[in-house]
Amino acid sequence: MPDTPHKTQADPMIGTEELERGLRAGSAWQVAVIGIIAITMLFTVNSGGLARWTQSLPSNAATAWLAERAADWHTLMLRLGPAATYERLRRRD
Amino acid sequence: MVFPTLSFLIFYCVVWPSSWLAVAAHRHTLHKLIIIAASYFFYSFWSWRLAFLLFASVVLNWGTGRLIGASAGSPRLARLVVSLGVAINLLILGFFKYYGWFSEEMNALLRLAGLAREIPLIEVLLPVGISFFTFQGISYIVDLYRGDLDRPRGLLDVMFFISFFPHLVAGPIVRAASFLPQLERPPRPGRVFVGLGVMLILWGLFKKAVVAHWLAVDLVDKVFFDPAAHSRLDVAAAVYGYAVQIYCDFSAYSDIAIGIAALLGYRFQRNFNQPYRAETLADFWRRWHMSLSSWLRDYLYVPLGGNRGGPIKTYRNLLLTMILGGIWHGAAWKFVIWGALHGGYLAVERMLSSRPAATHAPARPFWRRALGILVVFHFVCLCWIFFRAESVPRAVEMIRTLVLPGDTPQLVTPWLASLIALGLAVQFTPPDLLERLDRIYQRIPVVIVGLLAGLVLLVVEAIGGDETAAFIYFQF
Repeated sequence: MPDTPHKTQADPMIGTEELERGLRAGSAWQVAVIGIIAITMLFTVNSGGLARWTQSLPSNAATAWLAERAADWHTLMLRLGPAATYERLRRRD
Repeated sequence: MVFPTLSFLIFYCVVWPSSWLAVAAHRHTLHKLIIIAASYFFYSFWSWRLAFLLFASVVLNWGTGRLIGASAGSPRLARLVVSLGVAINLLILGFFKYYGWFSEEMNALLRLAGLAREIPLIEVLLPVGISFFTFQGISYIVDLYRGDLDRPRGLLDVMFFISFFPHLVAGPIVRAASFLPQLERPPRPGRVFVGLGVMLILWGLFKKAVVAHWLAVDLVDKVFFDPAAHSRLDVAAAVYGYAVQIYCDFSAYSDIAIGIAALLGYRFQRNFNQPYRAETLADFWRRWHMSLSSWLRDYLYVPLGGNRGGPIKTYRNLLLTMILGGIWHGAAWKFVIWGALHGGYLAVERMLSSRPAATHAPARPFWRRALGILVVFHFVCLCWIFFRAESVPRAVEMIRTLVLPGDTPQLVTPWLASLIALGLAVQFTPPDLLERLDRIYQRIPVVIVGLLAGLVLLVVEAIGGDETAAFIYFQF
């Protein structure tokens, strides 16, 4: 284990600059755009996963309503195609 | 609630905009309250009762910090306060983590000595993440005492620091001196490391849900459960497989934690830096679980005397630090052996490297560096056997199976071999890979990045396991 001299004053950047060195900061709006697109894609193509998740929630009126909506969404995505293709690909492995 | 689940995704989809909306409305305190409430909600998924223990730890360290601040004029009093604070933290950790082990071992000893009295056995529930939030609490009061932190912080800030959900249950162990100054001002919406956050989250998900999952399910768990039933090659593959699995599992958690904190505008320390390319064991510990190894160095090894008392004391301190580091992982002899092996090797390495010829040697040729990497990697793998095995006899059985002649492998498939190869190959990618990828990210329109991120999520979901197991370090 390496020795380091005892620190005597605050160094708020300890260990952080290394990861961010050379990287460019963006804005929170970019995160929102990336997140919305990625999650929409996930719930469109993998609507089966969303339906299965809602069924695993503790049972009550709200989750039952949610499970029903998720099942309807999954049925629609199966009919439109993306979910059916994804489910076929998943089953292949 | 674990990171690679839909539950966490939905939780984060609520927390992320709420926290940034509070920042946009210039409500810094509200922003902190949102994060704190989210952190306690996150922790309560394991046990809402234990959330009170987390709160008690926060109050203990906040109160100790106030007392250290109040005793600024009296170094002896401040020393007494910090010692008491550290001792209470360690007592709480010790009770929850080691009481069961201690009472079992003591009872066995008493029976051996022919004494009828027994220490009562109590079933103590191990609170998830207790080792991590205790170490962070200690970091707060020790940093304050040493002057690394300029003044005691308010309850809200200490609560935020210790309970912040990305690092709460499995690290990285964030230092008070590096994190608390970030809470003085609200995070800046125009200065978020988006590329870093997105890449670390996606790469972490892949490592955990695909590489670590399949290696664990199809190879490591089966072989470690019954080594004698498997061939020598299967056992060897399981040892390499575990080395890759634990790296991909734990570094995945750290990557995702760093990523989700980055998207919330906070910075954590790096926790892994291609550890299996280390040429010496000391170098390995500069690259593996860096937040723990630097914590042990600064709060244990250096206070023990470090290398200031001559060679013998240095070797003793190295051994002690690593044994205690082993025990930190859990109450079992296998962790003691794991720590002792690392400590012993570090001591020998230190002894050999302190020879003048070695100190003044020119840059080592390629073959010596490659040999160093091979030796260190295989030593680390040997130690992982003790770390992973259910018990010491099971670890010995694994090693015995490794050296006995055996038949053909039955478990190793091209898929598992390629996962092991991938886990090892990423150790040798260029050190500035993240920077290069960030430059590519900067050139791609945000919409395309969103589509690519969605694609990666779908691929991970398709080839990952149905049920994601808990992260290995949750048990510590």
